[in-house]
Amino acid sequence: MSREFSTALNKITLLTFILLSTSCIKEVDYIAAPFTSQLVLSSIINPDSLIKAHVGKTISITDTSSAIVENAGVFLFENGVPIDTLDYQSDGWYVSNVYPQVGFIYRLETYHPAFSSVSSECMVPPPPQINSFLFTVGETLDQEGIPITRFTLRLNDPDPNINYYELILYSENPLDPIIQPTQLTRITQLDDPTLIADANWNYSPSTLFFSDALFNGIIGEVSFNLMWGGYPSPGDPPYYIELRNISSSYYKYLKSWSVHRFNQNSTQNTRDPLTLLFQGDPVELYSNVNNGYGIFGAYNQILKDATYIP
Amino acid sequence: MMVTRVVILLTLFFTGYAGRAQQCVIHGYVKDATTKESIIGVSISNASFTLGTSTNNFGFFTMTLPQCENDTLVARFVGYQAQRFKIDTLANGPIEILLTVDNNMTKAVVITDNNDPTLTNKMSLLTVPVDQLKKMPSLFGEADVMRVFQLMAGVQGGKEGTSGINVRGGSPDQNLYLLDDVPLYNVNHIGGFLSTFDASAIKNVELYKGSFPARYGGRLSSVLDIRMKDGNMKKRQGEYAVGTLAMKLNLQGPIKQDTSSYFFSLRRCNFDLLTRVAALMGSQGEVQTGYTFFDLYGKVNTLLNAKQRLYVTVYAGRDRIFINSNNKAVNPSEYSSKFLSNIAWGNQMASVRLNHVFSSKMFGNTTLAFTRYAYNNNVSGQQAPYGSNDYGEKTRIQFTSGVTDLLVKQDFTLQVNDEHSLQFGVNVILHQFNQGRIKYTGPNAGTSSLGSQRGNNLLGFENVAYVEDNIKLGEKTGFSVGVHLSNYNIQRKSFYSVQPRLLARRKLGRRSVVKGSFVTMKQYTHLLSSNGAGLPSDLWIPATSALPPSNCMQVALGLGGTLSEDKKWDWSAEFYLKKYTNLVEYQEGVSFFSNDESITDKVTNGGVGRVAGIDLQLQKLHGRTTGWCSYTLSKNDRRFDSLNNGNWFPFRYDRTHVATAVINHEINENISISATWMYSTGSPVTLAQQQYGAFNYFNYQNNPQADDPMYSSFPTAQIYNGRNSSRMPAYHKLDLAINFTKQLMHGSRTWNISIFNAYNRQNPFYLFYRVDRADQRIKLYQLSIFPIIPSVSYTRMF
Repeated sequence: MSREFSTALNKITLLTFILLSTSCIKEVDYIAAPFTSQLVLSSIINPDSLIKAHVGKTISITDTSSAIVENAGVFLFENGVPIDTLDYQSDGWYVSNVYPQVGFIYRLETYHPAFSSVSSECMVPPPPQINSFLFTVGETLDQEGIPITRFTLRLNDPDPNINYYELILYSENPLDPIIQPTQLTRITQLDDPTLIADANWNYSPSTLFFSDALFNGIIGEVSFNLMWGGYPSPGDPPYYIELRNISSSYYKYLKSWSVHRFNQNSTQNTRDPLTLLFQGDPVELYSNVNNGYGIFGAYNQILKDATYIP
Repeated sequence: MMVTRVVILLTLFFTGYAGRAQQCVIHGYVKDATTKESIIGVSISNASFTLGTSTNNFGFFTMTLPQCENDTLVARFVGYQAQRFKIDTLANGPIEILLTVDNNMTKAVVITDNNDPTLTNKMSLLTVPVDQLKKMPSLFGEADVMRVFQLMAGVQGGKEGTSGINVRGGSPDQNLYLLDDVPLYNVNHIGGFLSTFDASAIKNVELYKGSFPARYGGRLSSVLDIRMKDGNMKKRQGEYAVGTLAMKLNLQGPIKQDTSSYFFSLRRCNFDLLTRVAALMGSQGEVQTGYTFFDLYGKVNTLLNAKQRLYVTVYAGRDRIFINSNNKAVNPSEYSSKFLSNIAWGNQMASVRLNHVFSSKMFGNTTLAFTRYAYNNNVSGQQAPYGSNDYGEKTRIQFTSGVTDLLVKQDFTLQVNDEHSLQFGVNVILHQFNQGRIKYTGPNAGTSSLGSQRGNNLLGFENVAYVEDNIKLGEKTGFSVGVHLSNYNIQRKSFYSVQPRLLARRKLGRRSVVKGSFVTMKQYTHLLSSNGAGLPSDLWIPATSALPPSNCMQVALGLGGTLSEDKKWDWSAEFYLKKYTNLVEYQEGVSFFSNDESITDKVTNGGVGRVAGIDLQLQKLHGRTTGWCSYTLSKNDRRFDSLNNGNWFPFRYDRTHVATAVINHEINENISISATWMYSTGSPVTLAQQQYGAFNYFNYQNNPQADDPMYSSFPTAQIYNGRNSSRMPAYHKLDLAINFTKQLMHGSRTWNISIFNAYNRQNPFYLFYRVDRADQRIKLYQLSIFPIIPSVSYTRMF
C-alpha cells in the first residue's frame, strides 16, 4: 500500500515540479577522469552445472564499445589445488569441465597481459530444506474487495551459521519458455519481518532473497500476500517453487545490485530524468573480486512442484 | 571543599557588583517617533562614546552610568536621526526615546555586527534592514529575506533557486528559525523557491552563524531570529502588492492610541489561478490541478501598565498541491469516477508574551507558545456505473506526519552595572512527533490489510536553563561568558548537555577589533529530507537512544573594523573550525519515498563532520551607493561507518569557493537600482566514471540471449569512485532590479522590475547520463530550472 502511496506522491510532486519549473536539459561537456581499466570476473556456480565464468573489463561511462575480454587465462582451484583451465567459448564466456561440490572452496584466477590479474573464491552451500508450503485463499480482501491469497513457506534451517536464501515462484508457460520474474509484481503486501529486513523490496528486486537472521538454527517461515494471477490456479501451466541456499557473496551481490540499479544516475531504466530527483544517492555495486570487479558466488537449490491440482 | 570555593567566588562576584550600587541607572524604550513601533538594536551611549548599550528585542534598554549629573545620552540607529537627550535623574519609570526617520540620509545596508563592531560583544552576526530587502532583485517579484542572506559570507543556498540556507557547512535542518521567540520547523514553500517569511511583516532579522548567545539552543549551525512588526500605535496604515508569484495585503494601526496596536498580513500564491484554468481547458473540464500557498501573520500588543506589555502573535502558513478529476463514463462498459488528491503542509504558531520591567535594572519576558508543522496527504476516489450518480462509499488513503511543540519560557535581563549585563532564563518544551501514519477508510476497511495504521506519536520533554554575562572591561576589552544547559527526555531515556558559550573581544588601535569565540550546540531532532530536492516531504524525527542527538563544536577567530573615521566602509575576516558528531544520514541508496522501512532502518547515525573556512567581507555602509562583496573559502566533509566504505567524503553542501557582490544605488529620491552577483564552486555529486556489465544471473539463467535491457544478462553497473567524488559545473548568476517609487497624496507606490539570472546562465540542478537517440552514445546532461526570469511587482502603501 505504501508502495502505491509513494507512487501517487511521486506523480503528484513530479507534476507540480513540471508545472512550476521552466526546466531545461542540455548536454554537458564531459571530461572523463583518467582511469585504468580493470578486469571484471563473473561467475555463479551450482552443483548441477559446469563451472562457467564471464570475463569483461571496465570502460569509460560514455564508451559504447564492447567490454568483453576474449583471450584471458582463467584458472580454477579446488580447496587451493589447481584443477582446471577454463576454455574460451564465446561472448566472454569461459567454461571448465568441473561440477562444483558442496562444501568445497573454489577459486578463480584470471590473467591478461593488458590488465592486472584478478581472483576470487567461494564455497558451494548445501541444498536448502523446504519443510512445507501453503497457499491460503480468501482470508483477507484487498481494497476492492477481492480475496487475497497468502503464501507461506516453512524451511528447515539446522545450520547454526548464518545462511542466505533466494526464493523464486514461477509458472512455466510452454508457449513462452522464458521465465520472467513477474510473480514479484503480484505480491501486494510485504509484511513478513524476515522479508522486510532483507528483501530490499523498495528497489524492485528480481527475486526474493533473505537471511536466516530471525530463525537461525530452527524452522523458519516467510509469507506474503499474492494478488490474482500470482498463485497456481485451475487451468494454469505447471507452477514451481524454487528455493536456493546461496553463498554470502551472492547474497550481498543480489542485495547490492537491487539498490545500485535503482539509484543509478542515468535514465537507462526510465526516460524521465525528473524521477532521478526522488532517488537516493548512487551506491557502488558489491564485488568480491580482488583487484577488479564482478562476483564469484554459488548456490544450491531445491525445486517443488506447486501446480494446481483440483 | 569545592562547594566552599564556589560560595566564596560567588560572594566575591556579587560583592563586586554591589560595590558599584551607587551608580546611576537609566532604562526605557526606544521607538519610532511616527509609528511608536519599538526599535531593536538601537545603540545608546554616553556623549563621549565610552559607555554604551543597545536595545533588546522589545526595544528596551538599561544602562548604568558612573554618575547622573550633567550627562547626555545619544541614541543612534541606521536610517534615523541621532537623538541626544539629557538624563532625567528624577524619572521613576522607564523613559521613552523617540527616533525620527532621517529622510535626507541614504539608508545603509548594514550586514555585520551592530553599529560599531569594535564595541559590541557580538560576533558572526548578520543583519539586514528589512525595508532594503524590497529594493533588491527578487525571483518572481517576491522579496525574500533568506535570499539576501545567501549573498553573505558563510551562508550559501542549497540548490538553484532555493531559499534555504546552509550556514558554515551545516545542513538546512540545523538552522533554528525563531519567529517572535517561537521556533518554526519548515520555512520553505515548495521547492524552497520562497521562504515563509513575508518581508512586509518583518521588523527585524538577525542571523547568527556562530558565537551563539547562551539563550539560543537546539540547532547546530545557525540561529535566524525574526521579529514581526508590532503595528503602528499612531495611525492606520496599509500596503497591498501584486506580483507574478503572489499577492498580499497588510494592515496595521492603533487599537487605542499610544497604548495598543495590531498588525495583520496575508500573502497568497497565484499559481493555482493559472493552473486551474490551464488544466480545465486541457482536459475538457474534467481535471483541475494546481499549487498554492498562503502566509498569515497577526499580532496584537497592548500596554497593560507602565511596566507591563502583552503581545499575542499568530502565524499560519500552508502549501497545497491538488488534483481533482471527475471523469464521466461514456459507454455502459465504463465507470464514472471522481478522484481527489490533496497534499497540504505547513506551520501554525501562536504565542502570548508578557514583558515586565521589574526595576530599572531588570527586564523579564514570559512566553507561552504553540508551534506545529504538519504534513497531510489525502487521496480519495469514488466510482459510479454508467448513467448513474450513485458514487457509493468513498475510498480514502491518508498519510500524516508532523511535529507539535508546546513551550513555556521565562527570560530575564539584569543590568548589574556598567561592566556586567546578565541574561538568564529557563524553557520547558513538550515535543510531540508524528512519525508518519497511514490510514485507509472505505469499503472493506475492516477486513482489508490496508485498514491498519502504522507509525506512532512520540513525546519528548526538553528543559533548558541558561545564563550569560556580557562583560565590558574598559573601552577596549569585552567578554561574553555563558552556558546553555539542556535536558531531553524521550522513551524513558534522558540526555543531558552542558554547552559553554565564550566570546572575547579586544580593540586594536582606533578602528579594528579582534574577536574569538568557542561554542558548542546540541540538536535533539533530526530531519529526514529527500536529498536536497526541497520537497514537501520533510520528516522530523526525535533523537532517541537509537538515534542520539547531534553535536557541534565551533571555534572562530575574527578580525574586523572600519576603514575610515566616517565609518563608510567596514570589513571583517573570520576563520572558523567546526566539528560535528552523532550526525544522521540516509542509508546508502535510501530516499524518503522508500517508506516501507522503519525510520531507524532508513538512516545511519554516528556520523562525524569537519568544516574549516574563512569568511571575508567588505562593505560600504553609507552614501548613495552602498553594498558589499564577500568571499568564503571552505572545506566540508563527512564520515559515516556505513557510507562510502567508512571513508571521508565531501558533504553535499561543500562549496570550496563562494563569492558574492551586491550593489545598491539611489539614482534619485524616486529611482533606485540594485544588482547582485554570486559564484560558487559546483556542488559535489556522485557521478559514474566507468561502467561494466554486471552479471544478472537470474536473467541469464532464464533468458541468456535477451536484448531487453530490463532483462539483460549483463546490464550496466556504474563505478563512482566514491561518494560525492565529482562536481557539478560552477554556479553563478547576476540579478538586477530597478525600483520606481512615487509619493502620492496618501502614501506611496513602488514598481519593482527584477531580472533574475540576467545573463541566462544555465545552472545545473542535477546531472544524469542518457543515451542520445541520434547517435546512440551515452552522454552527460544537466537539468537547469531557472533561465532568465523577468518579473514585476506593484506595491501600494497607504
